[in-house]
Amino acid sequence: MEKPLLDISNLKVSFKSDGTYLNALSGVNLSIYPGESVALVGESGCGKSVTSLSIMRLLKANAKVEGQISFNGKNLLSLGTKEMRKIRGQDVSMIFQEPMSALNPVIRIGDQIGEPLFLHEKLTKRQIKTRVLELLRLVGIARPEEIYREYIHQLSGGMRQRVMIAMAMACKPKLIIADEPTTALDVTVQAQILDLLRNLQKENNMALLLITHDLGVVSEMCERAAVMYAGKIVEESTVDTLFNDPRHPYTKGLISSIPKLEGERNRLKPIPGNVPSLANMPQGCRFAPRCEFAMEQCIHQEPSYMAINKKTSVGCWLERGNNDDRSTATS
Amino acid sequence: MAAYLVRRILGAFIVLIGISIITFIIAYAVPGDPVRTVVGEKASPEVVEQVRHTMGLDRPVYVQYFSYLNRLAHGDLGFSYYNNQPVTHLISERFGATAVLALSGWAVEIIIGIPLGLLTAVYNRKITDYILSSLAIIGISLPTFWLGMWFIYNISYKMGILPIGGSGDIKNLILPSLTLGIVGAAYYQRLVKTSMLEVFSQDYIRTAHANGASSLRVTFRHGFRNGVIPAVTYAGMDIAFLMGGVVITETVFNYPGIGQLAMQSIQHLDVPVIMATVLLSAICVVVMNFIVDILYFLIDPRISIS
Ligand SMILES: Nc1ncnc2c1ncn2[C@@H]1O[C@H](COP(=O)(O)OP(=O)(O)OP(=O)(O)O)[C@@H](O)[C@H]1O
Ligand SMILES: [Mg+2]
Repeated sequence: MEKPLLDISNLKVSFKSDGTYLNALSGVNLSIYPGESVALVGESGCGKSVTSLSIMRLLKANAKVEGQISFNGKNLLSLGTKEMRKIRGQDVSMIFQEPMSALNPVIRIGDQIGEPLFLHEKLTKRQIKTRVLELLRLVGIARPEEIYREYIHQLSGGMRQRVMIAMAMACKPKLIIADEPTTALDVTVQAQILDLLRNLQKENNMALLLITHDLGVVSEMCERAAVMYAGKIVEESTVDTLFNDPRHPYTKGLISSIPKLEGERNRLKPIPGNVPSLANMPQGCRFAPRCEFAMEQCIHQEPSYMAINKKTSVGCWLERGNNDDRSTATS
Repeated sequence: MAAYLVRRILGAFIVLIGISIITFIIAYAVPGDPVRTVVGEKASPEVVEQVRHTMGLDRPVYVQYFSYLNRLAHGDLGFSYYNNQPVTHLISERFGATAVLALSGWAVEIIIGIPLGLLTAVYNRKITDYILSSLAIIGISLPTFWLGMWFIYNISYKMGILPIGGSGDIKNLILPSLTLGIVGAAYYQRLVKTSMLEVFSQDYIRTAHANGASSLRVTFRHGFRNGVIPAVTYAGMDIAFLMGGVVITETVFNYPGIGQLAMQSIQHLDVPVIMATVLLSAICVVVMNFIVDILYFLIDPRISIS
């Protein structure tokens, strides 16, 4: 079998605050293969952005990172700053949620898109400009010559995100991480941007890690999806399997809370309860307090995360063959 | 752009009219009788009235104001009671000296303050920051006159390297501009540090890192222009105030500038000179305000002129 492009294993991230460390990620495992598109889903605060920023080593200075993130065989967490800089923007690039704040207000759009080219490729100014104009056309921007000279505040939200995409694409990276790339946009524009991203990813055979809390987006964009809850991945599978045969009660809850257009509104049921705070993580399974199937064991002991078949991995006691205990479920 | 300029110039003109009214009122409100200053304490009441009449000071206030404005429009700032010279002559003689001192002091402030601000922001909460920030706090709390005296005593008097005071040579300029600059630099340092730290926490800085830029490049190419904006505003106002005369520094170093002139004119109740120095300061502020706005436009494309 092919080797993964990105292989995150047992990634732990904690943040120092008031002298103590709070765990934001407690052992995340995730692999992405070349050219593959993987979704990372979960409620707000579960650690999706922290995961993506750990890959790029862009977490704030108060973060402590442990574990392994291997990319193309190199452990990113042990690279020197200089080597890491070579990877950023060249092999891995990022698309952020808010293009307005993620792009520099005082640098011309063309120069910003050209920055990764300037940093990673030995090109003349003219060559960079030609490439940037191509990129602008590639992301569907009409009048590239004009836009090249403009500033980010002069564009609409959708156009801004196209600019971000052009910048991320500049060096044809092997992996693009898109952290909720369309959350800040209008619904109609969202679809266009996702289409664009999907097409570019396919055409250039890039891997994509798409972070979102919109499961609708997942089924359209990705082949595989990982579901995250409170700093851990609780289930991972192909998108088809995940939607048709979800195993973890949290995944089931998420799927049944997707609003369906076909008049099924009354069956929409949000998961009761809230995501636990970093300072108050449940001892056993983190989802147990909200889980309708929770058993005695769930409250005391954390289930390990393991493959249950070729496609699916899950971290839940219910998948351990002790189905007989279901009768003693507490809630 | 042209329309904007016309509007700004018109606006500046109105502000200046307002200032001329205020300076006029100041002159009016000054305690003591300017006629007495001219004729002396022993003159008889008849002579006083006579002089008052020839000076036009017995006319209604508004007539006096308009004649003042009229003279102003013709570049006539009146006659110094004390120095017995046309005020324009006095002012132009000293304005050059003050401008040179102000500019060099300002340059010292900026040359020390901005890099210090950058360094303390880049090394925030590290040892470099603690040392430099402490120095800056010492700088900001030094009284100007004390630093000036200290320089005079140690460098001019004891070491005999530089002149004690006066003007006319570059050597005369070094200590006064260092005095001005060291005290003022600390403010730039704080301003730049605060705003750079703010800039460093922005998303576009994270984007710059995500593209693989080095810290140096992130600081200068992606951060500096955004971070220096508050310092530009302040620098504009700062030079305006300095141009209006640096009273303490000029007095300590016996430097013949506007500040010293203003000081003397107040001591001697030399009303035309008081009015002229106030007016000059105001003009400096108005002009610099204008220049800062234009600079803003050049630095920050989000500000559009129209
Ligand atoms: N620099 C930091 N210092 C302290 N805590 C942090 C820091 N960055 C993130 N966290 C915490 O880590 C947890 C995970 O945050 P993260 O941003 O990854 O959530 P997310 O899944 O991306 O949520 P959202 O969908 O809202 O973007 C949150 O509880 C957050 O408060
Ligand atoms: Mg996030």
